[in-house]
Amino acid sequence: MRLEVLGLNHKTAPVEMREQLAVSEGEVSSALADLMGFAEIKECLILSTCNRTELYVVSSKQVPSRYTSLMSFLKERTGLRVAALEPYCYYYEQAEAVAHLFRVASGLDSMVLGENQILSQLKQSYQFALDQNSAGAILNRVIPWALKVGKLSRSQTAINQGAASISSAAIELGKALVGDFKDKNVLLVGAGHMIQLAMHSLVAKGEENKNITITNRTYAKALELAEQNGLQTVPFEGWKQEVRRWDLILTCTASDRPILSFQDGLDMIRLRKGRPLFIIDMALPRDVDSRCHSIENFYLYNLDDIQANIDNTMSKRSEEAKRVEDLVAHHTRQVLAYLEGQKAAKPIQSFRGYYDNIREAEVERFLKKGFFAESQREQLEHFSRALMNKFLHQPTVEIRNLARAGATEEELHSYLSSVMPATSIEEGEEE
Amino acid sequence: MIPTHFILLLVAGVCYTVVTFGLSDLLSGQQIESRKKWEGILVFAIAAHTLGLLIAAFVRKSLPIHSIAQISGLISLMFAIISLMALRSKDFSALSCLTTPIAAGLVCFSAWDAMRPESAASNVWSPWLAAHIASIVLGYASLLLASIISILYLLQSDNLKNKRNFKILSSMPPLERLGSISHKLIQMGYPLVIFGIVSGLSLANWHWSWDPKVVMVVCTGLLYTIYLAARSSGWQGRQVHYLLLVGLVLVIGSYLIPGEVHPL
Repeated sequence: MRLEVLGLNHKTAPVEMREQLAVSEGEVSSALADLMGFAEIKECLILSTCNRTELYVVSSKQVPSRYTSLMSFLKERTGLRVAALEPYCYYYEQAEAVAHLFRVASGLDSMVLGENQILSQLKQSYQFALDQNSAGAILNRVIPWALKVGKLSRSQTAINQGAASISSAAIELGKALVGDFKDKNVLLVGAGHMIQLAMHSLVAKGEENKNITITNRTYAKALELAEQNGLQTVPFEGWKQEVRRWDLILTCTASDRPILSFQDGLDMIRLRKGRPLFIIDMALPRDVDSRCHSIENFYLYNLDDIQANIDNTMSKRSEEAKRVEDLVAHHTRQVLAYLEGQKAAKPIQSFRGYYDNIREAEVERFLKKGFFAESQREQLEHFSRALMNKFLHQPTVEIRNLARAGATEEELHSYLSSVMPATSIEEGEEE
Repeated sequence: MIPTHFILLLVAGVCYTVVTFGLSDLLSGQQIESRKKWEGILVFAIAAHTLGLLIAAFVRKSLPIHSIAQISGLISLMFAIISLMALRSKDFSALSCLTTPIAAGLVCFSAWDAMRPESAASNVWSPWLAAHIASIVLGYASLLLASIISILYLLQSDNLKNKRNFKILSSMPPLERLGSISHKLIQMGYPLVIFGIVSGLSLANWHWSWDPKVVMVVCTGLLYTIYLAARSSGWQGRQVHYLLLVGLVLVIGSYLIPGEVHPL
């Protein structure tokens, strides 16, 4: 059994190619069924996100046709020639495949280093595979292990620390500027996508968020968002006059000229009697006249400042990536040892089954001959099983070690045949 | 022979100075290495400092509150403990860069007192005098700490304005919190200083003299009255903290300047 992965991602393929190979939620079931249709594929899982499409398969044959099968699967789905697909794809087997999976789960292979979303996407893909019965002994062990590595890398290192998107970085910057939002009044100016993203980071779901106020030129939109999220509203024409209320203002409107002039800034600081005013302007073109930052006690941050914060986060994450790589390498070694050990599972089962049959027959024979009463059956069973386990312990360990050392299935069978004839000796002794 | 308490106080002073240099990077938002080491040195220095003060009190057979230099030994110990607490805190570590040098300066001043052959301290003692000293010491310590936090406020706001280094945000609390802590300390220290002035006048039988120390203490009281009036009418921001910088000069000046009835 071999674990393999064939895929493409944002590093190897442009978005046009990724679009063509993407497998939507509705298509996963049929795609998994198609993959299982190949004779040599015993287990499979499809991980398809906006940045990657990867086919994880467990195959039985030791022939080079596995790669061809996966390629032909992609070819059939996309209608593209293999030669057109190949330059964008990568293919890994066994150790490399496991390491790749663990790197993906840890966020090391993500577009935004250390992002968390990939973990839930991998979990969902695994659920699809379980639903379709396409995950077997190997994937059922390796995928949960990958999820564990993903969680460990995030809890034991700072790979996912800090904000990596504009809206979350703006919120993080806001927190650094004014402290915990719980007892702070925040004003959101605008009702577009960016403000909504920021709002979702700010609000506590299902609760009243009376410390958050929203305003928008189209007031009905502000009212709608306020109602959905338990916020307060203020008319767009009046928010500047009420500037004393807020500790932080986040703004992102579609206005093509500043909605807050230099004079407005001066008036606001006068109204606040010098109390510091923090504004984070996420709009492009900017909502706030940049000269406002020169006003005493007026602190204005724009997209460049937010980006600087993101760059800082990413550089910290890059420093952490080395620690995650070590974690991935450690767990990859463990999984490989497990997979090698799995090769021994079947031989050990048949080996022990052989001796167990003999043991059971002997128990029956001794009871039948009256050496032991029927009431003593349980003790006899217990004794015989314990004795058998003692005798078989060493050969079992030997088989497992051979498998871990990389012995082929033929070599394992050859070892087995050397230990099986011992049964006849035992039978002789009994007689 | 060199007195033991002089050596102990001097050792504490040297340790505080070393820690001051070791922690200087905190003010620029840098992470310092081996924080535990600096904490250890501070703990050792505080132990030496405390022991030095106890031995001094034992040798003199009186509490170290009979001169400005002796009182400095107590105030510096308070600042050293504040430094240690700040260094151990999550977002106040930068404060230790400013409180440790004050502890170093004041403990050296009190060590100098230990070498004086005969202290010029007053031997007059009364409950009013004890109340006067206690309120002025605690009041001045609060005002001094408030002004130091104002320096942090101005540094932080300067960093935010120049967008030099966002890392510094994590080593200091947000501006409004700094402003609020500084304000609370002044609200606490101001009545104590006023009580100290009134009790001092009472001890002088309400006789006003143009003693430079007394004049400066009254000026300090007036400045903080102006500050509190401005704050209560809603004024905040950098200008208010510039006022507290002037307050810092007055607090230090009025504390160290010798007066007729306040021997160094």
